Amino acid sequence: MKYFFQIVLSLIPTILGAITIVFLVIHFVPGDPVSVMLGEFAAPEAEAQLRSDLGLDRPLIVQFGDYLLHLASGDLGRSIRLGTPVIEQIIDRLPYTIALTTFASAISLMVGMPLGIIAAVRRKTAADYVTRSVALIAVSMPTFWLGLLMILLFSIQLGWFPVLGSSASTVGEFLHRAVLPSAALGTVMAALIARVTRASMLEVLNQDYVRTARAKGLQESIVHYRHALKNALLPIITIVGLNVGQLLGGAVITESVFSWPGLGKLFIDSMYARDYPMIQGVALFFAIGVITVNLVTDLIYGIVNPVMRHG
Amino acid sequence: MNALTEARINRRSLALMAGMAPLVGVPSVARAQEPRPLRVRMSADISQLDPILIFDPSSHYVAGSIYSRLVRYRPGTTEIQPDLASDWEVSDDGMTYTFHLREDVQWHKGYGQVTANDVKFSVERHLNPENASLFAAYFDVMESVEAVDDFTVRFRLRQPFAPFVGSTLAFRSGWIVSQQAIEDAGEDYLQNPIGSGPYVFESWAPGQNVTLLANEEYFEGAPEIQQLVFVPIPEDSAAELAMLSGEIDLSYFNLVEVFQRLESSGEFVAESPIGLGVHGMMINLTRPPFDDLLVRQAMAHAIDQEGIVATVWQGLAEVPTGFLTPQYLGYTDDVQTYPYDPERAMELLAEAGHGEGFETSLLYASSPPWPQMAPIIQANFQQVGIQLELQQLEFAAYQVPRREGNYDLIAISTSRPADPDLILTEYFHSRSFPPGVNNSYYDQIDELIEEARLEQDTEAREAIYAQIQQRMAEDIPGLWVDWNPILMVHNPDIVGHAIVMNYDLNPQTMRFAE
Repeated sequence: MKYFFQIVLSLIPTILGAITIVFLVIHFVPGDPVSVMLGEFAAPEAEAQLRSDLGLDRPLIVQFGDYLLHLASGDLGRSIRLGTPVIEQIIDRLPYTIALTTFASAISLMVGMPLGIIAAVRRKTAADYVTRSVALIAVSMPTFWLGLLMILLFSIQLGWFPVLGSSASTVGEFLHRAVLPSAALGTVMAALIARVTRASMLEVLNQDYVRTARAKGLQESIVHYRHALKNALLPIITIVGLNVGQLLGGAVITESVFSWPGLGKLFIDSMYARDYPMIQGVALFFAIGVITVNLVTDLIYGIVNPVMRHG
Repeated sequence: MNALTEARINRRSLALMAGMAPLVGVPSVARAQEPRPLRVRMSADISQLDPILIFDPSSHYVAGSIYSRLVRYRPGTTEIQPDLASDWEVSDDGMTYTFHLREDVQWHKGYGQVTANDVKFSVERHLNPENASLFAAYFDVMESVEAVDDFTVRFRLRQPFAPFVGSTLAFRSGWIVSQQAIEDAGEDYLQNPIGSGPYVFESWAPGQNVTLLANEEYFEGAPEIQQLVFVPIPEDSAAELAMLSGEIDLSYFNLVEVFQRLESSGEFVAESPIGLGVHGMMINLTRPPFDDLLVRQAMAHAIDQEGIVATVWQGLAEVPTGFLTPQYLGYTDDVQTYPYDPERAMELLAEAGHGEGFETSLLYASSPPWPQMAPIIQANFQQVGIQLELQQLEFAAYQVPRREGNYDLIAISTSRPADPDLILTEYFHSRSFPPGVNNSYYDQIDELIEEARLEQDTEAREAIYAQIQQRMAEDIPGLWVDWNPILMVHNPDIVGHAIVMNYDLNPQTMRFAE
């Protein structure tokens, strides 16, 4: 337990760093929320008034200090664009993004790992070549393009799934609408996992203990799944953990293509409006998400590989 | 058999084959019996539903179906017609406007009758600085507003202002709200807007949709379409797919290629009339060599507008004769024009002492059609020896140099209410120099604009606007590239849709064909 708290404490500087970078970057990008909000035909006095109402006329360091003070008491501020508390919007949208990334991860593991294992076990056969080529194409494909292709095939031609991700009234409908965006988002990661699984399995399969297992006369399937895969898992877990950040980045694009009302779409909308508090709030949640997953990955390492438990 | 029915049959047969009908969302019988909603795409989610704070087209779109004004534009046109006011008088000196309200108008959700006090309240809200109304300046000309009796409202102006009805009261600044509803809702007004228009606000799920229901007590009779659902879909290509899959019924588009694909599918009604919008480049007259009229004439002759209309717009736009489109009051085509003529352009440049050409730059925002149009203009200029550097910025970033007046040429895309006063004042009156949007620093028509405001006689006012257009055509404060079409696509079974001119959707005029 003490160990756990130590880890959590050590995360604070990481999150602070992330907040600081995001704060600086968005304030140095040209354009400000007032000019976006008031449109082109605003009177300069009205702009000055709004800028001062929003506190945007204060020095940057003061604004940042003020933001941190509020943050320390759990206040993320109000959205400039919508006028509502940032936290309300984030909580509304969060389940969509969690669902999307979870389904995408699940799909990528369920597809990527078996393919990688098959490719490794049947090295230099047709199955291997096909898997590797498909994986290469999938890794290189931009998510938004893949998303559009999937919509064309599955929604327009076959009519299996809706185009729009939004407005589900039942859980069944929600899941139904989640299939295409999750598949689009999961495909790239599935390809990555397939490649890593293959490489990692191959390395393990060449090791002495596997030869020993085979020499003992064990069945091939037991050698593969009980002996080899267990040790090949570490790099796969690492890839999954490290890629959650990438997955969230992909979610920003996927959510826009599929009109999926998650944090990614909120992030993009807020960026165009220069809605500083909202951008900071979403970025904070993204940072916490990535860090949490990496923490969980660390914990899973310990379970999978006992050697690391006291490391 | 068309592709859509085919797709639907496929969906059913495949679903049955696989035995997974519940999974793939075949509509259940109970749902099929519900009244069909009209699903309208908007290009972004709404941000406000309080009229004094609405600045974006999406919010306007939704609010336009909820609220009424004293007067409105007749759907699909730029003519004024009565809304809450049954009629009105203007005093001879043009300084007093008296409106008589209909006595049969009820607020939504039981908020009672719409009275003159609500009108007074709605207008005075703009004036209180604490409300931070975006339209406070629109009412600078107004001295007072009073409720003479329950159904009579009187505005007194500080000076005659002819655009008061067509511009101030018929646009966003003119929506009437219920005093009681505003006070009751407080900070939660965004989720509880009350109007007196054809549709009643039902719900807003951020990022997903806004739902409105037909106002059964609407003073012009309950609308036929029972439910309106507005769906935010930012990307045109995603909206195209949603049209094809039947998930939305009506959408406006920015991208010509998307519009044309849907049009040529033969599945939809597609219209592309010329509206109130113009694309052009404002010339920074404070910077040499643009202070020289010969140089501006040369640039005007150098742009191949017909080529741009034919390629970028696939023939859907029109070659402009000037800044105002034919939809505006007082439009005239009796103005000097500068047909594409590179040789003449080079002669003029030589005459101005720039025989070897010069270097300049064009600043533009990254929304269509500028990223496509700017390189063509660059090539046009290159032909006559003008080296044009292209500076493309995302919209919010583009606003920074724009406000500072820091550019040679700057691209604009305009659309404003049909009364010419507002758009001419914003773009070409000297009071709108940057940070306003008179990016040309043009000051030659101030007096004419002001004269037109004072003119009560419409014909005389039109004559002044004609004079303004002629003056601008001679002075060339900007280069006009196209009058752009409004690109709209809807399902063929929607009847009575009128093209949106001033962001008002007018759903009350629509119904589904039997």
